[in-house]
Amino acid sequence: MTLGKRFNNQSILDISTSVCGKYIAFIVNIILLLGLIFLAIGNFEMFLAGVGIWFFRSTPTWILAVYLIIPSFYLALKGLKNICRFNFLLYIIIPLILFLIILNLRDFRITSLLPIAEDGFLSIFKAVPSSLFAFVGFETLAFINPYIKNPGEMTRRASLSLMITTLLFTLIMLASIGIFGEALVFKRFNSLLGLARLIRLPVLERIDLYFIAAWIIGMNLVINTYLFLIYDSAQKIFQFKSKLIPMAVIAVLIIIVVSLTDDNILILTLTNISGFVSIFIGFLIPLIFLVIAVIRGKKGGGSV
Amino acid sequence: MKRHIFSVVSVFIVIAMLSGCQDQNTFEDIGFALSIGFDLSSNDGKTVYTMVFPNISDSGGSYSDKGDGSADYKVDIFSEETYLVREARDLGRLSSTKHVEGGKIQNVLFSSDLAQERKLSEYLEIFERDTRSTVQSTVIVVDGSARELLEKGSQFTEKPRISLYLADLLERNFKSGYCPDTNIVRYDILNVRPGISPIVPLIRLENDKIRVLGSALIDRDKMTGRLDTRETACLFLAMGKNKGSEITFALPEGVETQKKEGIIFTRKVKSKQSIRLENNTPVVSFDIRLSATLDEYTWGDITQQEFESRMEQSLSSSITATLNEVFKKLQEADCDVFGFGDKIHAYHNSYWKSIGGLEGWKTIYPTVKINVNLKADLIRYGEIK
Amino acid sequence: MLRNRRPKVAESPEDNIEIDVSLVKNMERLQEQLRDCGDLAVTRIKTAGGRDVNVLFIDGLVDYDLIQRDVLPTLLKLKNIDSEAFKDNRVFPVIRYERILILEEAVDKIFRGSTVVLIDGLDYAFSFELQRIEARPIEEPTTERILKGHHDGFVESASRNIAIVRSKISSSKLKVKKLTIGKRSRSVVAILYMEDIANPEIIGRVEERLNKIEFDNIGAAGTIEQLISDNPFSIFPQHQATERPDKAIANLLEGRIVLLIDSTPVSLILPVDYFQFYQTPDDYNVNFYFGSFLRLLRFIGSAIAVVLPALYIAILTFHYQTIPLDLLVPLAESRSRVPFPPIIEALIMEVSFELLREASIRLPSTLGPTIGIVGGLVLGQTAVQAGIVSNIMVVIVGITAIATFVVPQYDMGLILRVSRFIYMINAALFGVVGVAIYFLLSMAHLVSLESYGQPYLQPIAPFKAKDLKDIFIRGPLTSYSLRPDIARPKDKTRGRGYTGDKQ
Repeated sequence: MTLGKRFNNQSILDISTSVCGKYIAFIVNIILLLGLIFLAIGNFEMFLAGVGIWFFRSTPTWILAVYLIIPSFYLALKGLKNICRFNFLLYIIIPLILFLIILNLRDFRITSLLPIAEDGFLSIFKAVPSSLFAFVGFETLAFINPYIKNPGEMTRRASLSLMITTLLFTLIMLASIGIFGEALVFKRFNSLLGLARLIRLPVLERIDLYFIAAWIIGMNLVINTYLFLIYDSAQKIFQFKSKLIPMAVIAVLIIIVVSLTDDNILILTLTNISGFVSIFIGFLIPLIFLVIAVIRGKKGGGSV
Repeated sequence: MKRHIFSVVSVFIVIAMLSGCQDQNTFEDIGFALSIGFDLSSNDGKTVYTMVFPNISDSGGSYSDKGDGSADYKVDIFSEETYLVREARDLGRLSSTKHVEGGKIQNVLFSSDLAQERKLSEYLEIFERDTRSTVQSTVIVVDGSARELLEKGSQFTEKPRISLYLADLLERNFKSGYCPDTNIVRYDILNVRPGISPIVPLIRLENDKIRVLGSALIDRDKMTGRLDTRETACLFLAMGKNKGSEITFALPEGVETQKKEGIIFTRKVKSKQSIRLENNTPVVSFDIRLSATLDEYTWGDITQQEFESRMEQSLSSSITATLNEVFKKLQEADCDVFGFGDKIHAYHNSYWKSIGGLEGWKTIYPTVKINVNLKADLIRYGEIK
Repeated sequence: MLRNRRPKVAESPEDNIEIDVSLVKNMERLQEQLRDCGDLAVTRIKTAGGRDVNVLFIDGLVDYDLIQRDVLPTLLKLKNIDSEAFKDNRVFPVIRYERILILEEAVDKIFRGSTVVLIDGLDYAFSFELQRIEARPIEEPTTERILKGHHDGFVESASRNIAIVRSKISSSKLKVKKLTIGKRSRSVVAILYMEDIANPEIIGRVEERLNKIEFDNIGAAGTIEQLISDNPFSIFPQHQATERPDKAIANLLEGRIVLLIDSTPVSLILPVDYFQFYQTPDDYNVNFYFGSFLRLLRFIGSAIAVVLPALYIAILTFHYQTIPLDLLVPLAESRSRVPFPPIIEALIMEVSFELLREASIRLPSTLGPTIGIVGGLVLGQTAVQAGIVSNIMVVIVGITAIATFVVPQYDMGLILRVSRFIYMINAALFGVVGVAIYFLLSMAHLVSLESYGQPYLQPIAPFKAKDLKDIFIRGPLTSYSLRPDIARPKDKTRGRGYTGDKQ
């Protein structure tokens, strides 16, 4: 974020150009772009897997991929402003998640959570990498710098959102473990939706269907941002002229990759690696740039 | 050129979309199995699977009037002997009237022989794995053969469809505290947890009806004991869950009555469990406060202070005796319903490790001392003093 | 995409001919243009001073009494056209008249109902506003009825409408800008706004767009609406059309702009946000508890109207596990009689109802209720008995139909109907996922829609907590001290309501 404030209006890609010089920057930018694409594909595969397991066992993946990507495609075309407005849906989804947890409290046993830290801190440290997954999304900050209207607020707001996300993650994790118990939680792919299956309401009986619909909406929000960022960064690197064609190409690319590599185990490894990728892009590289920029005494100015 | 691309792409998209229809599962084509039964087979360790589903015929209505005023509910039932649940279902589909699916199964019935010999969760695995099936079906043990119950039950003339009858029966009795409410997911959760065991409702087929017997005690995935309905009701009291059960108790001495017992309706119960380690053995204490209404007795006079306290006294001792009996049975069956082991694992973890975790607990649990201290309070007597 | 091919209408050289001194020449030129206009009347008189005078007007548009009383006697008595009084305009006892120098303008005026007087020897003509047009009396619009407010409605004449508004907002800050648009129909459009509240940027934008219109026939408000919309390809309306003065006035006072168009009683309000379409004046006339109840009812109604049939199809086609146990067997029984899959069944019922609805608009009033009963009840019932649809389907379609009309605005109702069909198709293809995806798509579209620069889904996206009080609920009037942000008003405060003795 400090880096962002220094180079007032430039996205990380522009920064890399001014910091490293044109040719190295090009390579670094491509790496960043690939990182973004990787994260997008990872998320999208999770999305597809969820929908595929729950409803569409025999439909080919690519059809689902095409269908699911349509709203994201439309929204990404409309720009970041609209994506941000669209995220108001989060205000609905988060209460729904809390609602889900509350409905299941009857089965919550605190004894499942205890004892804490029995195995020693070492094993806790070992688990940190996979929990870095919670920080995915942070790296998008690096890319949206030029669009931020109010840089002064940035630090505060970004930290706040990060805290809320981590809090939410922790809450869901506590609830899942408390309700399912350690052994069962790890046997499930998607414990959040598993919680939904538990609920039995007087008239409607099974309402997991509606929670899955909410989950679909949530996942879509994620894909939106990634799609837009990929297009935006690609545009900065390659300077496209039209908007529609590169976007379509990106979408098709993602669909193809996703359909070919659809495999549950792959998804699990992807999520682990995603944590690293996110930190790499969102934290390490900007840090390096900051150092270099300070050393070289460069400052960015104006908009690019 | 643009026009051509557009039309090609749109045709393509339409065709692609229509293939979503592949996964369609139209409702009326499905024979939704409402109950499934598991029995031991003498055949090489196989299991007999029985599935029941209502037969909704195209001619409108699924039951026909037999002319004597009773309705004949058409129910389709089949049994297959295989290793796997899925295999049995598919074999059944080879001759069933509709496409059998398990999405709405209400009850899962295990015969008592099977429950005592084989691990139950292996049969339940498919419900968790397949997202279409429901994990909210009640797990039930039948005192006798599950297949026989389902077959005879589908032919009851005075009762509604077997699965609905069962579902309704169990739900009502659970509400009154006479049998537990264990569905698949809860069973699995409790089963897998070290130090706690599930209990499961127990039923039996009788001439032309089905009777709830109480609970079956489960230890390490197999049935090892049973409790009757009164004991189950007291068990719930010990857990601190008041279900509004009606519990009989022995009357104090000196009461002239032919009924020999009174009955109370539980109103409020508070139960405190504490686990202490004394000399490296766990000692569990229950401290239970029960408020109840006297529901049926005889014409004697209750309002006198000391008579009331004698009633409460005999009520307390009656229920305490039952509870002691319950705990004895639990320990014999090695079924840790309350989860003492779970609590020890949580709060006294070093001890848990020292006895060797779950394995050790299983040997220690039957020897644990359980003290019950129950005090009952009669607060209302209905209209008669 | 279709390219608009607008033919450029060349300006003819006749447009700037001045009125000649000679009456004969003028009449010659006029006869050229006004040949075969049988409704044109020409009265030839001579002044007292011996000059020829021609009085031209359109039969049916002018008030004979006024012409005969005020104009003709003066003309007949006219002795000298060079007198001071004449030059000073002190001769004619008519409130509104003007001098016209260009022939084309004279023609224009004649067609607007003015009486044009050509005097031999003068190089200008007089035009007198002495119209008399048969007009409809003020009555409540049938499509926008409310229970507790006044029952006025706009009429066809723009000037009368402006008068209605002016009489209710007696403030000099209410500005009226008149524009003439449309190549041939020459409609007068009036832009009304409160000078100290409305945002000048928006006013400027509206004017700009209106002036850019090059279209033949601007007969109805809907035409103008489509021609000046931000996003003409969207199904969502970007202006609110209303025939009620109280609605227009309330919106004016919030800082919005109202367009009044001649020859149509429908006025357009802009800028607009999505939630405006769920508000009626009735909400404010009652206690805020009931107002909130009504609002919530409308939202629930519109949600049901759009999504219920789709959910039915999705559940029956893909997700039978969600059906409650008690419904399971009865539903299966009634469905088993129907030979069609759920989507076809739903489409049959929905399409029949749409046909019924469309037809009932045009039925004479004597047949209307009968067809309603026949169509609704009998058709539905017999369809079930014939085994074409299941009875649950009829119930669902019935509820949906009623719920659609809960939304006050007709345009919105249309949108709900169309969306419902799209949701149904999506549900048939992909079940609940289909419904969710289309929901996302339409949200995405709504979110990016803008009405004159203002986001359409305000105040939910972007989130403005202060404006939320008027959306899903109707907050107490005391909380309405600030104007909503949609029109970016210059003056945000509008005074507190009376809160009892608390100050």
